[in-house]
Amino acid sequence: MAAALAYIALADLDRVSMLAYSDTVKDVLPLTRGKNRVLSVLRFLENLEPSGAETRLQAAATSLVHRATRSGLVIVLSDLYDQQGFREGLDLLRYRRFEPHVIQMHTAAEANPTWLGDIELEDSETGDRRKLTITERKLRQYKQLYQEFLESIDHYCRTYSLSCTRTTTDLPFDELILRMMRTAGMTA
Amino acid sequence: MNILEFANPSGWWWAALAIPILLLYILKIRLRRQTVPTLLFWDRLFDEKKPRAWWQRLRHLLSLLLQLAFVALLVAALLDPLWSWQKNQQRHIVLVVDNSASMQAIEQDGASRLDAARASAGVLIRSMRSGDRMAVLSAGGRSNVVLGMTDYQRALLEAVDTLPATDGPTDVTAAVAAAERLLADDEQGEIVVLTDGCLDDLEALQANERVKIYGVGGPQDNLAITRYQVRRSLLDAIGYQVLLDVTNFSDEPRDCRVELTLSDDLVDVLPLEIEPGATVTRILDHTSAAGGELVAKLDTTDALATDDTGVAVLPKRTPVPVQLVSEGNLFLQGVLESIPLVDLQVTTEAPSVAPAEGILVLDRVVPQQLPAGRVIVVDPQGSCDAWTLGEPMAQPIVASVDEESPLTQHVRLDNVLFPGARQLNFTGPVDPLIQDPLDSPLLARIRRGGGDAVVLSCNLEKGDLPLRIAFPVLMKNTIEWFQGNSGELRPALATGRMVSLDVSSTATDAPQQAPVAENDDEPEDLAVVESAETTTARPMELISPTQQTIPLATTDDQVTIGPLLETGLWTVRPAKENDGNAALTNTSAGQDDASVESDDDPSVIRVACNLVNLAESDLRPRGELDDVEGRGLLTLGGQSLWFYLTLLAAALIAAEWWLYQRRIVG
Repeated sequence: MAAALAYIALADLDRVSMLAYSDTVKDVLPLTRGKNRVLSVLRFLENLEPSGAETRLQAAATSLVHRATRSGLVIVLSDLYDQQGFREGLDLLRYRRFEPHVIQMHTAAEANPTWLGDIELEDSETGDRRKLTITERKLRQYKQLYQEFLESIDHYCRTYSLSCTRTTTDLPFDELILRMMRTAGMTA
Repeated sequence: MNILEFANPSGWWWAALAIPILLLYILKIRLRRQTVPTLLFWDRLFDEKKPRAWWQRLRHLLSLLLQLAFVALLVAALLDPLWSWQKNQQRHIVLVVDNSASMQAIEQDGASRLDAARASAGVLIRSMRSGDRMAVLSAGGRSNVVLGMTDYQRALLEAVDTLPATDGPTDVTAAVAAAERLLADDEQGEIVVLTDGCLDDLEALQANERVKIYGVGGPQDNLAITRYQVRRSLLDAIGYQVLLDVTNFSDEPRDCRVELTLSDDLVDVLPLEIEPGATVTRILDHTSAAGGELVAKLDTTDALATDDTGVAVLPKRTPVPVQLVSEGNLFLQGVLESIPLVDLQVTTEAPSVAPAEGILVLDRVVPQQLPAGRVIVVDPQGSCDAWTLGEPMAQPIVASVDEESPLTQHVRLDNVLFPGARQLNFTGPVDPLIQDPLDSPLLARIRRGGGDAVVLSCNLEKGDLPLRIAFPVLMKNTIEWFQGNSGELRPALATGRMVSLDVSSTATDAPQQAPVAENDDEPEDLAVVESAETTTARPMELISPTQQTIPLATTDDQVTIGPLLETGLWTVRPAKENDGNAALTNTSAGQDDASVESDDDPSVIRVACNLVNLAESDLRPRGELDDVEGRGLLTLGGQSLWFYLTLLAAALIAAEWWLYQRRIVG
């Protein structure tokens, strides 16, 4: 998804930079321009690995505003599972006159889990484990909590007129691109 | 002294169940592992009600303790503990199940009372303790020990479930007496009776402290045939009379119709209006030479169907061959032709013997040797071996008539002249029936070995005897007397009765006699003419209305059948060669039985059997009875300890499940 968006921008001769983050910025692709730079973009994305740390958007946003010499369009591609909250990071970008665009990605199982009974859950980022007994009631409460989380993202983006796209990982990226372009009125 | 003893010590082995529980607790079951992108939401969800630390530690231990307690209760139940006083008080119970006709009544729920009794018996049997013993007796028709004392519950349940329904009367009193004999050596033994309470001696049974009576079914209205008999008319050779009682066992007046059919042909339809508790009696007269199955059927639908139908056997009237030897006598010929069932043949030559099963009438013709068989001689004009013809009588006027004789019944001949009558000097014993003033016989019965003869000394063409009513009556009496009263009455039996039958003639061609009726006026030697040859009685068998075959033992040409516990037509016939030794079998409904259903087969005796029992048809209990549902044998000393332990174990496992679902235990 990130590669596709970067290619579109490079093809329009826009300058593109990439920041990979977890609790801090892990890797940076400096500003680059030109369609012929797409290979370096792909190579950057291929080399990214899960860091094993929690998500902190605010740290990444702080790093970005310090590095960037000019403001511009910022596409945040994340699940937004930020223990500290995603608002601070996006607020910082807004305050510095960046134009954030949120693409939230999650799996279908995250929104609608079906596990019941005794189970051990492992955080894929941090490796933390929890031994839980999931009942029907708990499952209902989880789904309600997750729905409230999604609604809070929608509410934030609506309040500050931010573009927000939500998708699941099983949706092909080209379909998502087309859907985003149709939403923006760029194509029929 | 041990207060508590175990009836099943091998139950200790079940305590080994605790081992895998402990192992599982120690080893713990490895949890499933699921990778998620974040624990953010799960942490928030479970941190809201975080259990206290000490409780968290104890919840798994509590679960283990609950499971071990469950195993302990289960083992205790399997050990079947008995208090010492229980050990010394093992119960002996005789279960008396009423399977009489009234137990076939259908209750509001569609099940019969016997079904309800079976279910109640099942409750009682399942509540037996270890060491208890029970016997099952039936009380329908005749008390019968279905299963002797046993502690094997499965056999008891099977005995109760296979207890057949009968159409017999209740015999609970006899069954209780039999039960008391079974418990003669056990003063603590108890008798439990399952009945619908439709018995007249209920109060006496309830007074017996040893007897516990449980009721099944509720009061039901019923309309029943309570008496049903048919007999041949004494006055009309082809007539018959039906005696019918219908009783209304309800608190409301009822209207109904009774349909009478003879061999499936409708004979009569009788509308009846019956007041509550009343009995309507009807005597119906009909005529038919044909015999067969005479069925009375109520057109109502009520709780008990058995008593809505009555069946009786109407003896068949067979034509009597009568040979008239005469040169021409219109009076005599006309009279004989007018008598029902007479198959008249007129000849001029006297035969040497009377027709088989028939009567020979000699008009003025007297051979030297009076033909053997049943003979009527009118106006004898010569002598023979039975008499010598004398001089004409001086005053042939009737002076006396033997009114006791069946030949002269309804005959009025006072001062009637018998012209042409002559003196007859008999060579053997005679019974004078009509005499002149000098005691000379005008009509006499001659007793002889080859068949009786009746002699009428009178010239019919000269006197006015043929013009009188008495003459056809006299001839009809004589013909019917010669015919005998065979088949006059075959009484329909009530269920539960036994009867002895004479089967000596079942192997001969002679017509079958009535099963139980006897008539002293019947000629003693009428049947010897063509059937003097005797044969050895064959093995007999009894066919029930539902085509069950029961072998019969004959003793001195007598068979005893019964008690008959099924309504309908029972058949006694010679046993077939191929199944003569068969035990109770079910004959296939087919052509084999069709032949024996015929009235024409002299080797077959048919006996009708009806309920006709006021006590059985009255479906209202005679007293208040306890319901066995939910009681089991509680009143006999309470449930076993294992029962309560099992209940406690079940409650414990349910509680453990409930606590587990709410995360109170781990």
